[in-house]
Amino acid sequence: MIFIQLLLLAVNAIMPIPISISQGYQTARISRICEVKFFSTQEFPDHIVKLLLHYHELITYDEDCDFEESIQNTNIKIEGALKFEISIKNQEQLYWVTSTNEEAYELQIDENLNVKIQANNHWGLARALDTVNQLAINNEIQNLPIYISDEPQYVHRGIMIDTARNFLPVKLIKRTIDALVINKLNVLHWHITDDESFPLLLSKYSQITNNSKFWKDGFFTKQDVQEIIEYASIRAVQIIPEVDTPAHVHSWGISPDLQSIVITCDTNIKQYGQLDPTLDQTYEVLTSILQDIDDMFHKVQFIHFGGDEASIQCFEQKPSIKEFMTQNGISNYFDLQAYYRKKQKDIWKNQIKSQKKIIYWYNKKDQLPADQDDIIQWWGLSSQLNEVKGRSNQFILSDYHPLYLDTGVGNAFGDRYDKYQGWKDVYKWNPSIPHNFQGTILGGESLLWGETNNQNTHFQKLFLRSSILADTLWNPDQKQDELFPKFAKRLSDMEDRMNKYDFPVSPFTHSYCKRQLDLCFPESYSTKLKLFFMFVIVYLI
Amino acid sequence: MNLFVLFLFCVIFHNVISLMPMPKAIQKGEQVVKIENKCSLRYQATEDQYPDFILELLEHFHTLMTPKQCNFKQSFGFSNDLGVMKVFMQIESFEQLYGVETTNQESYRLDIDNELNVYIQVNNHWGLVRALNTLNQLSEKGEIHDLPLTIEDEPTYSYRGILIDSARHFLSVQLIERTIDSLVMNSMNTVHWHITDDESFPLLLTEYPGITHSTKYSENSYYTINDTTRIVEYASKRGVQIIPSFDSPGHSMSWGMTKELADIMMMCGSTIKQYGVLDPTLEKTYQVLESILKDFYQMFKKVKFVNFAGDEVSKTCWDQRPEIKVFMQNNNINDYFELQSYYRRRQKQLWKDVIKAEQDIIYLYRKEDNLPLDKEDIIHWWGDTDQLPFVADKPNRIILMDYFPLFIDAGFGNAFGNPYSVYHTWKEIYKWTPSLPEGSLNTIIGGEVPLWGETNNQNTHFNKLYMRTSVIAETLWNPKVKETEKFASFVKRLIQMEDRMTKQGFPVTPVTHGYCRKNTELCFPVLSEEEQKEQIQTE
Repeated sequence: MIFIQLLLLAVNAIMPIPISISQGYQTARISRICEVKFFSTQEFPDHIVKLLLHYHELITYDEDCDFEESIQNTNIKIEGALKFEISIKNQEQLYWVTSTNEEAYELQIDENLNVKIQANNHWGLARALDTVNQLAINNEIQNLPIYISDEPQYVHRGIMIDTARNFLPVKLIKRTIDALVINKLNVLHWHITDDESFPLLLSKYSQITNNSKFWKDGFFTKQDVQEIIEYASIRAVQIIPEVDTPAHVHSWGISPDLQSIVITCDTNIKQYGQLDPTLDQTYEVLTSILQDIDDMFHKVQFIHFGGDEASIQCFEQKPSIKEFMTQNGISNYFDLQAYYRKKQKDIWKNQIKSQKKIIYWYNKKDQLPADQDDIIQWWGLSSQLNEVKGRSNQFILSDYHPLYLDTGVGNAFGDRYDKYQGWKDVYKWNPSIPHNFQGTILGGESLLWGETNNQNTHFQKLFLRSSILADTLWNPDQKQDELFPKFAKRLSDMEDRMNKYDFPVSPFTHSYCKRQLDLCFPESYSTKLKLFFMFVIVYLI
Repeated sequence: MNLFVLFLFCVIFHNVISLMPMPKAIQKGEQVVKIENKCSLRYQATEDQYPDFILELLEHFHTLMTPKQCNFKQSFGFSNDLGVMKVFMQIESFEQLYGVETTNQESYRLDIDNELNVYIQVNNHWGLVRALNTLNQLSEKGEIHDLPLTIEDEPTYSYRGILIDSARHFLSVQLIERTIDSLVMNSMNTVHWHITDDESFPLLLTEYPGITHSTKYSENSYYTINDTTRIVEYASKRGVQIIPSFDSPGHSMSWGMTKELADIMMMCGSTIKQYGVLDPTLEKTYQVLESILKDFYQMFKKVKFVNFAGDEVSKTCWDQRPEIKVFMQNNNINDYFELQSYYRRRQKQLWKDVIKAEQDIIYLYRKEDNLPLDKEDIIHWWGDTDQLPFVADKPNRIILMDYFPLFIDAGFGNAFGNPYSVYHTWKEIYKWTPSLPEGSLNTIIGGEVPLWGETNNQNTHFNKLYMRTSVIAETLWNPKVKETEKFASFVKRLIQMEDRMTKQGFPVTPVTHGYCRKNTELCFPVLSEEEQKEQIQTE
């Protein structure tokens, strides 16, 4: 017990918590916060200068502090100012990373506020700068000298946003990226299109965009897309675009010339659209759209093809489909969808010659074959992960409970829709795999579907629950050892930090409990501690 | 003549009136008149005709209705400019009101002719607020349809409110004022201000400031008499009443956090949630109570009602102190039920006889809180609708705050991150209408949606309140409209209200997504699946 207490006393309130910290007992005041200096023997390329500018703004938190003066090629000693000495192995601008060690960093801060950062590239630098920003609260840094060596557990740590149900402006998407960065999250999965709209301006089929957009300028141009990718890359966030097919495409078929490729099937109120996978025209349109996607998102690593919720009843509506199946030896609708998926991939790989790997949605019902290099995004229940355990693919986990952040506040029709996933539910979640699981877990994403979300509700639905997921995906072992009130303290500090930077997040508790974390969030919630007590009890017996 | 007049024969345009809440009676013509002038509002009077509180109201609407560059001072004076609204006001009484007790105090008559002459007839400034709000909604698109137009309107209930809670999270004065602005747009008229609770007592007391300071959340997180007076005034000028509430003898842990007052409060509760209950047997309790009530009276002198809550008094809490049992024996108090009545009687005595306050008292009631009432007391119902028979024998006024669906804080988890009830959707609130069980002796004066503050702060405030509060606002103003109106038309009006509120900078929760916004007929054909089935069958 005493051992555990000591361990916790030594931990800083950083979120996500670094893998390894060793520290002293001194506190240094940052008396000249405005005079942050960044020094390097290397010349910083433009994207790194922009990253430094971003953190300069966050750290100084004062518009009057001048960034121009802060980059130095000699190491000047200014007392009371943060003096960064940065060394980066690879200066290349990255739009994604493929291994956790690309985001690793080493950080040393001494009693004179000399801050040494070593990172492999600008993504690691971003994580290190964020840790420094979290350490430098209230214009001082405690526990100096401090040495941190850090690396995430999972390479894929993200959220999903949805611009098809309610349009989200570029500015909001950029703010979302800013919010991710201060949580060390690195993926923005962008569900761009759906039944309700296709807000991406297409080159050949611009009528799809124009017919389904919600207002005059409610769509994204190639320039918008590239601005977002660039903005994200500078801040070490990768963009994953998603264009969902063959279902969720009602928006494709609104203009008369494209009506034939979309089968509209609906309940009374909800309109669904599904591509007719038997028509050549479908693939003409698809090719053109995929070509646009590849052009617009040239620099991203993955493309998400959706592929969820294609309904058999919808295909059944068109007798010509049955005929086509008979003629082509396609025995069922399952095979039909596989046929579509194969053709889609062929277009992507062989016609467009895109190297980007493909992500598909999978839950219990989506049992389509996947190639070895396909990535599976799991959106079923955690308990049903069994269903796909034989697949040796890479996996992204978005377990329906608790990683759906949109649930519990009604659906688009004002009716009830599942239940709200509390922050404690997200806290209790860990990436866990069934016995004999053949795949590899890349990481996870929390999903904010857009039916009842717009700029007014965006940040409070995302946070602080996504901050908790960020903690889990960076360092899942931490909560095994950490007392619950300590976690609550870190969460509380994260709330304050996000409020400071003007993100209107949901409060995780009331102000009384914020002051009484030990009382309101007693340690008994820590799983490891329970095990520890059980062990002690068993031992005593 | 630069007046642009359109004659319309189209049925769709004929139904264009999209007011919320929907007025009781509308007579309309067929003309559309464009408001040509940017500074579109001219009050047909001189400034000195009106007392300051009415001028402030006129300025409030001038700000809402015209661009920034339009000068309020220049909006007065007679005009015959055809491109502006020329507002003639006939106000019966210039008395400043801090609350209303009858619905006709808020009634108004609004006539608009083809030359954009606007005639408003009201009893007082509260009616004027409602009339101007209707005018604002009518003219927001830069033109007025259906002219000539006559609207005669009056709410069905005189109490139409929300509850805000500044004890769990402190809410700044500015946020409270913004909240009042948002109510005005919805013709709501009451802020029930739940100021204190177990967690804090953010009202600066004169004799016992220790209570405030030992429980406040940050240096300046409390309200002074200046703040409360300012809020009460701000609200009054906009036709909103403030109902201050401090809860006792339960929910009073914050009273006993200083050493000198620790004895009047008993702390009890589970391991994580702490409750405080006052010891009703100590004279000191009543000394403190009297002083607090005096402060309360001074701070809220002008309000019409006070809410003394009195809910959730834990009996097991009183068990903790054997002296209480002894006191009860000595004073012929048979059970805790009577003990609580004893407390309530003495509290009321202080309020009415010692302080000589005139405000009637509202108490929270549900099945479990079934204490006796005097006839002037008001029941604030927070139980389930089907338990209303438990108070049906009381011939009192009643405010309905049915747990389902009016608790708009529910469904997001509680302060401890655990599940707490379910979220009540706007459609569930739409389906709710004030009703009493057969034979009930209660008189409904209105209803209220409570936004308890455990998981609410300035970040979540407006989107938890709206659009659900807009739905209840309409029900309390005009509950009959939904009996005849098509569901899709209602949703269309609700979406227009959403746009209106977004335009004024209130971050409200969207009613639906962009596709259904454009396709209301398709997405909202009928209210419920059952009704849908019925409709199909009859077809």
